[in-house]
Amino acid sequence: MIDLKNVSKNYGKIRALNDVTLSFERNKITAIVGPNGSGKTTLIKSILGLVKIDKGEIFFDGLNTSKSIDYRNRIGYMPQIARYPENLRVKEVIELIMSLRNIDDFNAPKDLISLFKLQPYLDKFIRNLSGGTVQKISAVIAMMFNSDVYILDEPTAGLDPIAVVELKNLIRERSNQGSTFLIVSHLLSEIETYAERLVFMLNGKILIDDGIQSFIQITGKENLEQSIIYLLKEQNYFLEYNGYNL
Amino acid sequence: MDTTYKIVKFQIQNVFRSLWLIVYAIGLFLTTTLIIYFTNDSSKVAISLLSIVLILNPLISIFFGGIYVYNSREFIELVLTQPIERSSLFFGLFLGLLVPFVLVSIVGMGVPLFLSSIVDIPLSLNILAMGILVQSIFVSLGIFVTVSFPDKPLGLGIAFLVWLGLCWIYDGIILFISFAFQDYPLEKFLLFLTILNPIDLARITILTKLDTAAMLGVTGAIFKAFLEGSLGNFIAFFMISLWIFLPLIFSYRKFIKKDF
Repeated sequence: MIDLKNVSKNYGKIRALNDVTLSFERNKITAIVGPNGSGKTTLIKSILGLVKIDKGEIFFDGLNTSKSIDYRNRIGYMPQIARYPENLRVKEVIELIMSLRNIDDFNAPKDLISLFKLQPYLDKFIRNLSGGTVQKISAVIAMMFNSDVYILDEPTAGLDPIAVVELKNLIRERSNQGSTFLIVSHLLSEIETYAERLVFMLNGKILIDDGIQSFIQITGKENLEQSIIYLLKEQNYFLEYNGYNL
Repeated sequence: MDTTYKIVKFQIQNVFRSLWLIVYAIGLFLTTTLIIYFTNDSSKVAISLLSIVLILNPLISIFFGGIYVYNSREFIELVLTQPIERSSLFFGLFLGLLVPFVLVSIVGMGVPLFLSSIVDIPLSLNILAMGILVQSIFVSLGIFVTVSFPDKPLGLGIAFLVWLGLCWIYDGIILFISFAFQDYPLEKFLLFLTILNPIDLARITILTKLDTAAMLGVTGAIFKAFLEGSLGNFIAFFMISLWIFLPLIFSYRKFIKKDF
């Protein structure tokens, strides 16, 4: 579905992505994990075309993403921090994003709006909303197109517990229907419950690319959190021993 | 084109609901009205309005334009993840900012000016047109600064310096040169310097059209002769267009390659 081939990106002297080769297969939920500054956000922004890569190529269903913009029709994206134009109403923001994809029917995201209980806010101005409500709008915008691929950057941060459960259920449901998910998250205990594959990044490189359960088994720890802590402490020895990328 | 139109439309909606734009429009309307009613002389009205057009409007255009683009950063990112070209968003941003500013000028300054008829219509149109061109220049410069400096406080500081430089410091330098070298025939050199700065060029274009232009002395006569000739007119128009399009072209090239 998405293939990165030898992708590198530098910000000045900082190597955000260092020769990354990676594939995301259809209908899998992949968690992209790593310490701050490890290149996670640069990775997803490169796929989305927000970041222009220095080297390498990125393919979406075999088509080079630098050659066309149409592939973005098939991606739903939820950013880590969302800020919408303050003087627009919630409804107007959703309508704008829909109109950019040439969809005029505002009924399309109706179910999502009621799922996240946003009806009372539709006519309110963005400037009057709380951070959590803005995050829910981002969730609706990301999920409203029935996309083939969803890229979510810290999707549950700032959401209330009910909305978190609803979003997780939605992710599972869409994944069962065949959608592919790339989720960046720091909440290891949370992603363990719904993600299937783990991509662990450090200093712009992919250190681990494995099934979550098999990774936990290899480390011999109780859960993903413990396994990751173990990995970070014993990095070199552990990776070499288990044949991961170094 | 279609996407640019959609972006311009939503931006106009957003900018027009901004409190600062409403305050600016009302302030402009009141100031223009007061100037007209307290001054009975067409030239004096024109000169007072010129100060607004050439000093206040540029500051508001570059500063609020800059703040607006900085505050839209995350939204620009989200829009760019949609299937649209960066160029559509770029021109949408520029026009979506410029159109509200221009409309505020027309309503805030144009309407009271045309209603009062103290300043004749051709001169009123001239002032208004210069105002709009100068606004275009400063919106364009504002976008250039925001695209070039990702850091908001630094960018806004530079925007302020650009305004200060073009509206005040440059004039100070011209004044200094004309005093320091007053024994030399400086007219042509001063004309050259004036043409380089869009604010001075706009000001002198209007001043030479006033009845009082005869009192501007030898330099004034040379400027008037130059600006009334077709070559002078062409050069003035060319320079002002250059000030609009050069920053815009540079910003566009940066915007297309930029990492968000």
